[in-house]
Formats: sequence, structure tokens, C-alpha cells
Amino acid sequence: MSTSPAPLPIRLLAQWRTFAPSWMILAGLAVMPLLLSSPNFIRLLFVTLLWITTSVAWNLLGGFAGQISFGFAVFYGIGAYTTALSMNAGVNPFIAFLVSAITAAAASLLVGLPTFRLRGPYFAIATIGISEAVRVVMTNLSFTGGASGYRIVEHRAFRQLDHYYTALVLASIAVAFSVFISRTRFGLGLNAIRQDEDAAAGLGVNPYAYKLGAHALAAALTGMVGGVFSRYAAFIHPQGVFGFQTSVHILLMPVIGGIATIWGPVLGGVVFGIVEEQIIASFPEIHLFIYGSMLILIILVEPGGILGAFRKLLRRIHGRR
Amino acid sequence: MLRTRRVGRGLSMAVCAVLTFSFFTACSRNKTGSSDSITVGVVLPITGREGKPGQYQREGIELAIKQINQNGGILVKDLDKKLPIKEVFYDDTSDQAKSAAFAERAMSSDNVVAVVGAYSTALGEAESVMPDRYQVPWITTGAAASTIFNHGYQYAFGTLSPTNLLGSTTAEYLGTLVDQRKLTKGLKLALALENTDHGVDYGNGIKEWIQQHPGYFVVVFSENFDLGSPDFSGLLQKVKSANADIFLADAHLQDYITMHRQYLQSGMRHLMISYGARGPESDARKALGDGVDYIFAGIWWSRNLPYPQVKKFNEDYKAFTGHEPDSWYPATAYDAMRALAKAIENAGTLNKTAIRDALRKVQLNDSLLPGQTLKFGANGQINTPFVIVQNKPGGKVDIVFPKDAATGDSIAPTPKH
Repeated sequence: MSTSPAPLPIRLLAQWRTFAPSWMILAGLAVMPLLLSSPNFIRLLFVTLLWITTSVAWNLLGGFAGQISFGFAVFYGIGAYTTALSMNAGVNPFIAFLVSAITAAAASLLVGLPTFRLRGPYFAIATIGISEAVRVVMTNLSFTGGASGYRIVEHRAFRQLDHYYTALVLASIAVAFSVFISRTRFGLGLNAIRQDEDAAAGLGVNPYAYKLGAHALAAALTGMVGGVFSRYAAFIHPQGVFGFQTSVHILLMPVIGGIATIWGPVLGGVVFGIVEEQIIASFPEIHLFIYGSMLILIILVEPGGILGAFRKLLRRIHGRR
Repeated sequence: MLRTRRVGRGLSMAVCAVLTFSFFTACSRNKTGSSDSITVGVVLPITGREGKPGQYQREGIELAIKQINQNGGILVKDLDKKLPIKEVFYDDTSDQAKSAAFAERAMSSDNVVAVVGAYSTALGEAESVMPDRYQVPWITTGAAASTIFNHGYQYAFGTLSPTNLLGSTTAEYLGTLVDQRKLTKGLKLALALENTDHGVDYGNGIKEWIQQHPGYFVVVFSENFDLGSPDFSGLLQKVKSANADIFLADAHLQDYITMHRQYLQSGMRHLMISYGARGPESDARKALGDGVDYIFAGIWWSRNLPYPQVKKFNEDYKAFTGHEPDSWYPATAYDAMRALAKAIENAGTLNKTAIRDALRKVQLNDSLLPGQTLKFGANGQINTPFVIVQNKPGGKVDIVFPKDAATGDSIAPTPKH
């Protein structure tokens, strides 16, 4: 006896219920700046949304496909510089963001074509090497200002809300994209690669092409984030945007939140974007100790990240009932 | 499916909780500005690679605030009362993005009348975007590159003279050694420059002086290096191959220590050696011992300057921190805070544009800096002269140039160890 799928209204209702909390958060984030008008809070949310986007982007490759890359600063930096150069050449910022995405995706192919022939730690080490090489090149490239950095001149008044909503749209696209991919054949293929690359190949998945695809999508999103950041900061520097520290930050967020999940990277972005700055601001003398201890605790005690801990807690609560 | 939904819902609540917590803590800082104090933002690195100089600058600022408050605060004519200064401090962790973020945070949400800080050109460049955006006066105490001040910013000020003046003063000092016949004419210079605007300005200052004074020196080698590089052996090998007589580098504290350690290990020896504005720091002596003897440096201030206010500052600083002032770092920060206090008093209001206007006209006649007068130029940067100091055996540091401030003679050329 075959079961027929539920009627469309019921399916839509079920979908709506599943995504209702996400829509509520999105609506809250859209309205919040208008109600609060605190520039500092808007800035914090802006930065957090950018980190969430990079975290979700990295998770497409590092989480879903299990390819641990230490080289995402390359795409972040390329995006930042592409937007900066385009804007100074008179290009509309939103077109500049798209150009950044395309440039970063193209760069991801250049990086991915040789490095995806490597596996595990060899791949990770190769991405560190490429990231450092790009940083050194950018530090010595005169037309981008070299190590002195590059200033972006936008001939219009600074409006913080424009930047905020750009970041909000970008983060929403990234999360929606992540949800979408996780439910597609492509997402299942990435999942299979993470679990056993050879077995996945045996089942008809082309690991090389799948990894290149995930890498390009992640790079495009990261490149756009770099662009949005550079427009806001109005000054970028290779040591900052191409720095190894930036790669580590991008990798750390999904690890903190919960790798290979939809919401883990989002949580990681929130922790990194807001909590870290609040700790630095509130405890300037001991912030490294507090933040470092927090990270060590999360990584050692709960390898599944905050999301893993939360799931365990839920299981315990349900177990008691 | 049901479980996923529950997790999703619970997680959304957790995200909301974290955001709410952070919102309240973020907003709690907004209450720092009040009518019974004048809030000043201070953004400096006290951790990370610039942590040491940043900490010294913080001490200079806090000493000035303590002294101003001990005298009852700043008289604000508009309010007809004296108000104490309240500091809102942020550690930018030597990170450019954080430096700009905290400057922005202070300017936009802490109700500060001004922001003081930004140690190093790299961090200062990142912060310099914010003052005009929020129309809040900003005084950098540790960024000297001219590029910060040539963008036409209206709210940016700095208490360090331009780095090209450091370069030309260094060359001028070497020129006087030639005139005194301690060195000979036509000596060959090797330049190793930090690949930032700071390094560019320093190199330009030296080259301009040489062009204006033909016959004194010839630059036979000039190469850039990465700020914060862990290894300079390749660069030093090239310096060795250049067979120069004098080695001039422009480096930050950590780079100076690393580079000079490798310089000593390479067995090189030049007639004179300098690392730009770094040389007399106690950290360098601790790390390299008498290896730092005879190094000379062009600095914005020295604790050996023969002014009574410097003597008093040295005593007050030691009583406040428990240690002597290290190189020039605390003095430019101390004077920045005093100049700001004077500007607020002159403005007679806490209006930020009025304070900016007052800063343009302020003149600190008992400044600690060489020349004893601090005033900002049209571009916002001061233009006080540099002093050249030289490390001597036994940990002594003498001012050797200009002559009227000298506390000892130049030892030139560097004796063989």
C-alpha cells in the first residue's frame, strides 16, 4: 500500500511551522535597528551578521564536505579589495559586491584545482600555504597600497542602516542557501564525501567536482562579506583582511557553534561577533583569559559545539519526562 | 522531524537570549556620558604585538587624567562648573578592525567628547576614518605617518611629528658627525624600511636630506621588509652584501629586537646603526644586553630632556606606575590628554565641534616635547623637533642631538666590541 503525500496546504503549514522561528528572528533583526537606533548596537549586529555569513559559508565546505580549509581569508581579502578598487573606480557598491563574489569564486577554483587533489591534513596545510602566499603578494602589491593599506572613498554620506540591511540580506541568503543545499542531492553528496570519500565516489558522487562546487559557493559568499566589510570600514589592510588570524576566526565560528549543522555556524557567528567584543569591552585586563577559557571549554568539553551541548541538554530533559 | 523542529525552536530561543544579553551589555556602556563628568574614549593596544608601547601610552594618559582630576577637573564655562574626566578604555588587541570598531563604539555610543589613542601607524590609519564620520575629535598619540593627515580630515589630530622629519633629522645628525670629522664624507648607507607609510616617510626624509646636501652620503641599498616578520636573515644578508658603512632601519619594537638579534648573530658591523624611532627601550636591552650599545634613535621625546616639567613628569610617572618612562611612549600620550583638557577648557563647552575648533588653536606652552610648545598644524599634526639619543654602555642613554639638548657626546663610529 503506497502512502500519498500530504496535501499542499498541510505541507506548507508544516514548512511554515519549521521555519517560523527563523522568520521571527529575521523580522526581529529587520525591525530592531529602527526601534533602538543605537549606533553601537547596529554596528555590533552588522559585524555579527558578517561573521555569521562567513561562518555559514565556511561550513558548506568544512562542515558539509568535511574539507578543513585554513585559507578563507584569501576570499575575504579578495572580496574586500575587489569592492574597494571597484568603488574607487566609480562602480555602484552593490555591483561591486557581485564582482567580489565572482572574483572570489574564480579564485577558489585556482586554489581548489590543485589542493583538492590532497586530503585531510595535507589539504589543510596547503590552504595555509596559499593563504600566506597571497598575503605576502598583497603586502607588496603597489597598486593596492601594499602594506600601507587601501582607503575607500565613497562620495555620499555614511548611513549605517544601509550597511546593516545589506549584511542582513547577505546573512539571510547564506542561511537559506545552507538550508537549501542540505536538502538537495548536492548536499547529500557533500555529506557522503565527509563520511567516506572513496565510498561516495563508488556511489557515483564525483568528489573532486563536488568539492570544487562547494568551495566556489563558499568563496563567493565570503568574498561578498569582504566587500561589505570594506565598504563599511573605508580602510582595509592586507595584514587584516588576508591575515591568517582572519582564516582562523572564520574556521573557529562553526567549530564553536557546531560544525556540519545549519544553526551551529550561526550561533558561532553570534558568539564571535557579539560576545567576544563585549568581553573585550567589559574586561579589558582579562579578556584574553575569559574568552580563551570559554573557547577551550567549548572545544574540549563539547566537540559538537554549542549546538551539540544544547542537543544533549534537550535529550536529558526529554529523558526525564 | 519533530525533534529537529524542537531543536530549531529551542535554538532560536538561545540565539534570542544571547542577543538580548549582548544588547543589554552593549547598551549599558551608553550610559557612560553624564552631566557630572567629561567622558573621554581611549583606544590602545595593551595586548598583541603592540601591547607594550600601548600600555605605556595608556599610563601616560591615565597619569594626565589623574592629575587633572586632582586639580578639580576641567572648568566648563557653559555649565559654570569644573568636571572631572572619566575614561572609557578599550583594548584593540593590536588588531586594525577592532581598533576602528572600538573607536567607532566610543564615538557613537559612549557619549565621549573625544577619543585619544591609536598606537602605531597601522592602527591609526584604520581609526582615522571614524572621527569625521561621527564628528568627534580624535587625537592619535602613536601614529605619525603623513598619509593619515593628508586626507583633509577635520577632526583628526596627532601628537607625533611626521616620520619624514624623523628621517631627515637622522640624516642631519649623521651629517653633523661628518662635520665634526667623526665620520667621513661620502659614506655608503644601507636602508631597511618597514613596508608601510611609516617606512616610506622615513626613507623619503633621509633621501631628501641627502639630495639637499650632496656629497655627504650615498644610498647603496634600500629595501622594504614586512612589518612583524619573524625572520630578517635574508634581508640582512643583502645588507651585508651591499658593503655599506652605515645601516639605517625603520622598525617597530618587536621587529627591532628580532632584526638586531639576527644582525648581531650575522657578525655584521657598521660605523653607525639605527632602527629609526626604536633604540632605547628597556625590552631591547633585556633581550639583547650590551648588544644594543651605541645604537642611536630619533625619538619624539626623551626623559633626559633638560626641562623642569620633564623632570617632574619623570617623578610623577614613576610614582604612578612604579617604573621609569620607557623611551618616548608615555609622553606624547600625556601631552595629548593635557592638550585636549586645555582645548575643552578654552572651548568652554562640551560641544564636539567647538572642542575641535579649540584643538586647532590650542597651545601647550609647558609641553614635555622638544621645544616645549605643542600646537597642531593646519593638517592636525604637530611638528615638534626630534631628539637623537644613543645607547651607551651600562644601560645609559644620552641625548646626543641637537646640541643644545645634549646630555652626552656621540660615540661615533661604533667601537669594536
